[in-house]
Amino acid sequence: MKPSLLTHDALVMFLVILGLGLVAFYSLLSRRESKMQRRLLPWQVLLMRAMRVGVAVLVLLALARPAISLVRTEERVPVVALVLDESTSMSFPEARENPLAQNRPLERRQRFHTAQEVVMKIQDRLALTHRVKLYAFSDALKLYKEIPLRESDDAPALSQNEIFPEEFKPTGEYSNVGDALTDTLRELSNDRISGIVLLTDGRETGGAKIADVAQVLETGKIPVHSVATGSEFPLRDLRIDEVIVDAEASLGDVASFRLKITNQIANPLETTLTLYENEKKVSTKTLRLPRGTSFVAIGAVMETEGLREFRLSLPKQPDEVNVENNEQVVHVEVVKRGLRVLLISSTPSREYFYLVPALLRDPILDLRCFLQTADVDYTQQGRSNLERLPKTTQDWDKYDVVILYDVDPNGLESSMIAGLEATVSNGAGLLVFGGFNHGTARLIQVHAAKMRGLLPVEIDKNQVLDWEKAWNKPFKVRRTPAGKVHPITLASTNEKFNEKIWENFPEFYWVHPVKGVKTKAVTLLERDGPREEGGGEPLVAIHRYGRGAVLYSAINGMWRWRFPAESYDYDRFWSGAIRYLGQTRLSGTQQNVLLQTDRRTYAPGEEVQITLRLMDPALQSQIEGQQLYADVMLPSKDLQKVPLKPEVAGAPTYRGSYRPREVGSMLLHCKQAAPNADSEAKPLFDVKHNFHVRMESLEDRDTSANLEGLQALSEQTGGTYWDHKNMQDVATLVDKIPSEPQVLSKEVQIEVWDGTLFLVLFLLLVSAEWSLRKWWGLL
Amino acid sequence: MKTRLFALAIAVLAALAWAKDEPKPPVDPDAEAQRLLAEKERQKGVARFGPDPAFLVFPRPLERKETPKELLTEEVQAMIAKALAFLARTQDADGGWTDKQWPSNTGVAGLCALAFMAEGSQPKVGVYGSNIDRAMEFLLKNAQSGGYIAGKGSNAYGPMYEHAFSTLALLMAQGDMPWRPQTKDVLDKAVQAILNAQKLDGGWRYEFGNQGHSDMSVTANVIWVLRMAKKNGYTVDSTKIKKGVKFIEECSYPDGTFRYRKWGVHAEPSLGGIGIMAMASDGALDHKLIPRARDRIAYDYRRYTVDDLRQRNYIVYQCFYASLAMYAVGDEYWIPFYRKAVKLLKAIQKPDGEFEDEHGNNIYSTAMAVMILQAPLGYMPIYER
Repeated sequence: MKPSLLTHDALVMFLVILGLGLVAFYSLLSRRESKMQRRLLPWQVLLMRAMRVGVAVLVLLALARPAISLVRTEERVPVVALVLDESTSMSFPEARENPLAQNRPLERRQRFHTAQEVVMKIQDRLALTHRVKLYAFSDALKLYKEIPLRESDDAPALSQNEIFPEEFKPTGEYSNVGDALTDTLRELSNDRISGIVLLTDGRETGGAKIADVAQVLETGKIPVHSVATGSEFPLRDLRIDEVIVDAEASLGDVASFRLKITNQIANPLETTLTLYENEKKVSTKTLRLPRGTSFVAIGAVMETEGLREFRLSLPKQPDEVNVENNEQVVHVEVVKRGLRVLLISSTPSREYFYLVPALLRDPILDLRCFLQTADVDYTQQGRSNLERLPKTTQDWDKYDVVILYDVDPNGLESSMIAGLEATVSNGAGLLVFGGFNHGTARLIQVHAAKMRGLLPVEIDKNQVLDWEKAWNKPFKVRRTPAGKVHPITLASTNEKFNEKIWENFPEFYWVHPVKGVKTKAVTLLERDGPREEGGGEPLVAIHRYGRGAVLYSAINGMWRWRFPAESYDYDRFWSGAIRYLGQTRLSGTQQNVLLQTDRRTYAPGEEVQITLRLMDPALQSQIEGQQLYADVMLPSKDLQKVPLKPEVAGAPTYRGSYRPREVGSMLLHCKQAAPNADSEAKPLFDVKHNFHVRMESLEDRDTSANLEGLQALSEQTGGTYWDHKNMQDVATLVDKIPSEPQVLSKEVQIEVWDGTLFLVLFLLLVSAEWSLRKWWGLL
Repeated sequence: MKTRLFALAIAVLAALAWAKDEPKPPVDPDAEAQRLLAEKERQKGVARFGPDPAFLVFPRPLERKETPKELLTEEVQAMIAKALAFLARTQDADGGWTDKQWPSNTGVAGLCALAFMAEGSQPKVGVYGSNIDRAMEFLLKNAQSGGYIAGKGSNAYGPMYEHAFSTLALLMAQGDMPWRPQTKDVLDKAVQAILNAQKLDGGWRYEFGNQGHSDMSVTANVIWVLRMAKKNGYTVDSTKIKKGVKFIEECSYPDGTFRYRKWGVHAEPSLGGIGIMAMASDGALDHKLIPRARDRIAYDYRRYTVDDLRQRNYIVYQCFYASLAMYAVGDEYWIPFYRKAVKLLKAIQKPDGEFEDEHGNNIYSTAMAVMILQAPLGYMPIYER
């Protein structure tokens, strides 16, 4: 005890005044009684005065409220907070490697069950030395249970059912881990916290960041012992995220289904992808998937016309959390369409020998050949015999793509070339080879009016082929920047594979001389090497001609690409080129525009990044200066316009963004007409792309445990860290929590005047003084 | 001993582990469509488009493989380079070649030209462009008024072999040789000469004339050349080819072997390959004899050692036809055959690059050998898939 007198500065003046008042009162009283006091003896007077002074002193003391301040200290048992995550992510399966989970029955292998088991393992011992407060949190913290202190080991500990009744399940929609720790500190601000045991998967969905709260805890020297449930990998799930397939497919052709698959099962996972149609197995593919996202393709040959429904399925995996997403159903409209191709060649050159079977192998190409040097009664090659060349525009219009392979210009009448020009202008494709026999210069000499305009390259018509010299020096060919991204010269959509294929592109010995390319034409392949040795000379170029396209090849030895992959690369190249040239006829637009979004599925409010990429610079020059828009068709059929702006001025990429406000399937549509085109004219391009907007639970977004974050939290705050790798020893966590008692200091004030003794003394003095005055006849 | 075994075991395990961890090449996502179409085409077999069975389209490869690169090892490339260099330096001034038995023979010149074409050269284009051009000049100079292409060094029995090979070489070069406009006329007559020489039994023999009996080897060669002529734009009466194929069938045994003459007894192992080529020429790659003949060739080249095979007469000649046939029936048969053929040819090749037969001829055999070796390049339309 530490006594002390209490004084109040504010009262000093008041007490002085009061004292002076009393002195004045008693002085007046003494003067009035002074005559009568003469009869009193001196000791009587002194006694009277002493009593009066005593009363005055008591009054003054009462008014001054004297008190004694005492500081009391006491020892209390420290607190341990068990902070338990009760968000829905805790109902996810525990890591298969977790030894605690392995010992539990299958139905009790949730993360939440692990957390419960850890609580049960530590609470009985903790309750001997600590006040154990069990908090639960999701979006907010709440005291779930106080576990009573146990006096001794003999005292019974709470049972599992007493702490965690069956109805206690993780149902929270959020995991605000940082907020929970902050709230715990506030809740226990008056207590000594020996430690916080945090039982969670650590995956935050909002609130204060764990890293920020860790600094506060470190400053407060409060260790957080993290017990991490779950594993560093997302939940065991194998799912088909999306299936990309063209809405239409040609009869007899392959419909390619491109799948984005997420493997959260094993690394790698061997499984089988199956394609069904009407529950009938159409195709299967064995997959070896690395952990994470993979892109795979499976296809089927379309053999029946009409709208067909396909189901893509992956088998259920052991302990898989969601098997519904192992399947997706898509629809494909199979239509009978093909490209009619006419190949006119002067002589049966080596290229001709290999080009014909390459095009005949393509199921959608209906090839007819016309060999100009063939016998008159010769049965021309192709899917059907062609007896004579087309003459009128109507005749030419029966073909979607025409190939002029080193043609003898004298074998083609001017009216034929006029018909060809009209049909290309109308949307057909034209492929012209500069060959060794007649050459393009002669073709231009004979048919200058139309051929010069049709070609994407400039040919010197006076530069006739020199047959006197020999060509025994090989040269290499390189892709131009445009050629590296152009669909014709894109051997594979996989960048690595594409590069690998082009690494094997052969060397050549002969090339048809080309003076240059036209302004709006695009060079795809050019001669490699320094300029003085012909480097940069255009070899393969393309341009748009009206609604059609013309491809020119100054190389006639592409057959050399048959090594090292035999006909594989060679066939695909020409098949792709012919399909590209005929695309206008197939779908009314060139396949030279890519409309994409950064993802296929979004949550409402998320930004959808839209990209429109023009693959053909010639097309870009046609629309330069025009404002492009993408229409978003909402599930309600309403349309919203999104402006698309060039990435940088003159770049072939246009971008825009859109934030969806409703859920459902959205269709992006981008269409652009040529400048000054009439309303009946077909657009330059007309592309569509769809994406989906759906509600996504924050808890489901990332199902892996944040082991790194929890470990960092424990390390920073001086706590211990537990996860599935060391969970078997989690009971020793108790030993890491200090059990020193909490020492509490409390200041107590005792007011001296406020007591019976003081009152009695006051009354005694007042009544005695009055009685004596009465007795001595002073009243 | 124990230590060695232990070391060997460790080495094997390490090799296995290495093989397991070896990163796989990237997978082409677009390959799926190709595989499906290839599977469908394989189910259908060799496709024929149009009314003429000459125009066969073989199914596309199931997947992109660089097997040709693997087959053309550095050793094989060295063999090829030496053989081609040998042919180039032994070319006569007139553009022909002089073989021991057949000096200035047009057939030998045709084969040499084809050997250079298989390398990727064309007349005046490529490393051996000039050699081919001179060989073509030689062949055209030896075109006779009767249509046949044969010179002074022709076979004593008759010039049909050399005529066939010359015609084949000219057919292969025709489209790439605009400075020799007479080629078309020469070939017109050459093809007609072959057609006119068909004998009454349906086949062909060395001499031009339709009297007498045919032999299976010449007949098969001629049918093959006629098919190439059809592909080049020449009208060939299909009934003539059908009759020729019928003759080949009559020379066959049910086990897929062939007799040299229809009435003969002995089956010549060298004729299996050309038998397959002849039947394919009528668009009948599904002919019931083809699997048997194919299996017979596969068995021969699997069963017999290099030394056994070298003992056979005209082994390079029969290996050449076998290679054409095995290439057409697919990698399953072609790859093991080619590897064995390389071993065989390596054993035969001399340091200067030549391949000599048992009669001392080293030109035609070198030309055939180097065509076999270069088949993986895929530059020669006679090797058809």
